[in-house]
Amino acid sequence: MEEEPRIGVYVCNCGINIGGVVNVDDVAEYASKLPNVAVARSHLYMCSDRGQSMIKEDIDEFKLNRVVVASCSPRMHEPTFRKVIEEKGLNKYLFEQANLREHVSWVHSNQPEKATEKAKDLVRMAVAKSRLLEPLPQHMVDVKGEALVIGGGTSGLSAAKNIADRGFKVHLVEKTPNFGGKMAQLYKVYPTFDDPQELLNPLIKDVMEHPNIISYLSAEIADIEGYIGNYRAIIREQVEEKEIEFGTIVVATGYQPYDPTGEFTYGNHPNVLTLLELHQLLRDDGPTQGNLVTPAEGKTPRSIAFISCVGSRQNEDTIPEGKKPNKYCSRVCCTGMIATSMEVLEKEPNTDIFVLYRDLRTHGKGHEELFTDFRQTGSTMIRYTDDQMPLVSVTQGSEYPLAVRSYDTLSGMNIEMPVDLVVLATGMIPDDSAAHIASKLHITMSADGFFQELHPKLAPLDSVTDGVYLAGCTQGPKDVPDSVSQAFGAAAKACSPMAQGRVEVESTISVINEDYCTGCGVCQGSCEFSAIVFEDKPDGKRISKVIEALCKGCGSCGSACPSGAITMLNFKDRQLDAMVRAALLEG
Amino acid sequence: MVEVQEMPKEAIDFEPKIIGFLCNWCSYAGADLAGTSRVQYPTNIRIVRVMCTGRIDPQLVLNAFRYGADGVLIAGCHEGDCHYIGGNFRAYRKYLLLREFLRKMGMHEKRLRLEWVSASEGEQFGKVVREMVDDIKELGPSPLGITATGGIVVDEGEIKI
Repeated sequence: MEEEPRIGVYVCNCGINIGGVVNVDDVAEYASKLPNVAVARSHLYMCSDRGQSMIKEDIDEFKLNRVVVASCSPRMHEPTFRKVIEEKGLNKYLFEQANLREHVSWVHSNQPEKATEKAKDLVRMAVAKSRLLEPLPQHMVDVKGEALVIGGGTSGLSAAKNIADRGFKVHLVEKTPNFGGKMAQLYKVYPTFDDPQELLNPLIKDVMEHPNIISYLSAEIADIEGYIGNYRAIIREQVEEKEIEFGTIVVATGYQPYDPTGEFTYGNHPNVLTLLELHQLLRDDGPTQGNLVTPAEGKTPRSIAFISCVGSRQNEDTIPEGKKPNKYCSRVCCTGMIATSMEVLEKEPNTDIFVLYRDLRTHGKGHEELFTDFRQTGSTMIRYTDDQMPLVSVTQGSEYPLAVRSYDTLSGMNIEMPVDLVVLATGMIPDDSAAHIASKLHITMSADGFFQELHPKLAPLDSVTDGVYLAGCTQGPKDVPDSVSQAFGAAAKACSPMAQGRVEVESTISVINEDYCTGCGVCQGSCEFSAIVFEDKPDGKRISKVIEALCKGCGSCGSACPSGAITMLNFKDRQLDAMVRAALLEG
Repeated sequence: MVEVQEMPKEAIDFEPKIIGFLCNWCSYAGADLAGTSRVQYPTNIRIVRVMCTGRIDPQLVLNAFRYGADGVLIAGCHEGDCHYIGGNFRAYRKYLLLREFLRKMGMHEKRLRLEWVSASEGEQFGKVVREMVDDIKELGPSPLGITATGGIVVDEGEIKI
């Protein structure tokens, strides 16, 4: 026999955040009269020590078996209060929260009476659901002590070494024949003017020789499946295929430079380059052995125009048709552009430099100082606006092969510059492989195509999939130190479930009532995670079965099932229906 | 089949009851952001949190109308943003069906609204609620409801589990 619900309701003032609008005592008084409510109280801050111990004392005194807290959003403090009742031996799924702050007091500040009425309704709805809550079993899964790192650039190498140093085996997969990623292609990194090879080579050597790291070069992930603790992948290295198993994943697929074809005559004239292409010209192992010469004429450039924000902060009206505007800032191009112009002057001091920028922000430690140095070089700064983009044209019969025309907001004049070379400071876009990885791992991408972190502020290294973590430019444009920091963080995150050996997975999953299931398979079609499969019962009946560890708990199968055989735990039809009923029919 | 389409009535003074089914990851968070940003909107909506809009069984929506809701809002993640990959598309398909069904029952299609509201669109959430309240005030109380008409709710049989 199921125990009669005995519910404790706690209404929070949240200082004056709720109490300043909603009559909290009135709401608590109202709640105390609702069926099954054993006690209802208000408090200044329910999340405070005193608030939490009030709940704990009441659980003992009133033999509570359910708790409702009416306070802020459950997205904020649900874990806090679940822990409180868990400490008193109640199952954490017997907690329900009503959102009186974000959904009432803050949005109805000028309507205190109506806000109080709404608050009562929300408490009544939460109590209605609370009555029907059921304890859910805790699900633990074993975690295999090996990790997969996808991408062998700066972030991937850093993450792999960090995980391996902690004693876990790492599979490091890189799609190109070499480690080092985009950083290895640069001439110098800034603001320190270091040679990237000098920084990367020791790291690559460490990784290659590390006893805990297995490297796969020119390799791709043919298939990957599983869930936290128990992933399986097929790695294809040329013609060879190898199956590996691991517990956690760090995604470090990085970026690729924006392709400016069709903009600023890029692609129409060989003297229009991207910043990365200029870096290759400057390198001793580059196509010109480090001699800075124009690709078309093979001569030392007399003047160079740098154009910033190409492929970043784009305005949909001024980009070529058919391209999707990148609205974000790529963060590294400002410093990259001005520092490279200084490198050019180092090699060829007589070059005229024009820097065309929209806004300039040399972002990061030591970068502003670099900008101060740059200003001493006497290079010409021209500030353009995004509604009047600079125009690059190929000249006819002129001494210079290219001409750049731009309106300069600083002088208020249209300026025309004859130049030998145009360099586009192109932004970052997600690597080509990102979409494939996203679909295989069920991690989401933001509108800009970079992987979305679980929370932009508080969980920037977690993906939305448990056991999958993000490092480097795969999550958004970053410079080298930021990428390395994030890689170390992601490595630590990847190690923690492996160190524990077992982790708890969410219990709010779908369950199938075998008696009702007709084996039609509609639910399988509705599951994005392939978490429902057919199972042949001994009596010959074929029914659907949920693979608990794969189920993410969205509940799509439950609403698709034509027989009503699927229940979404903690969000059951009858629990949700009770809330709707309470909102409309009761009160 | 005979189709009866509800016609907008003279604006009368009544407070519509609206149930909002919001997905945890985008729209519920968007409604939270409306709060954090102190966006002001009418008090008529009562929000029910679900993990995904794909979970919203049409029966839940129909029951809401049966219990007297004057409007139902379903709000989830934008295209490509669904935490569960494609739950929002499944919700959209159900919404189209429900809208047709309600129309054939003589309900105005504005009583059921589907919106994509991301976690960063607090202002948008407030706007949707304001618009919906205005629209339904213009339509008047639900022809099925008891909230303002004093009629009797048809409540036969138990819903499925």
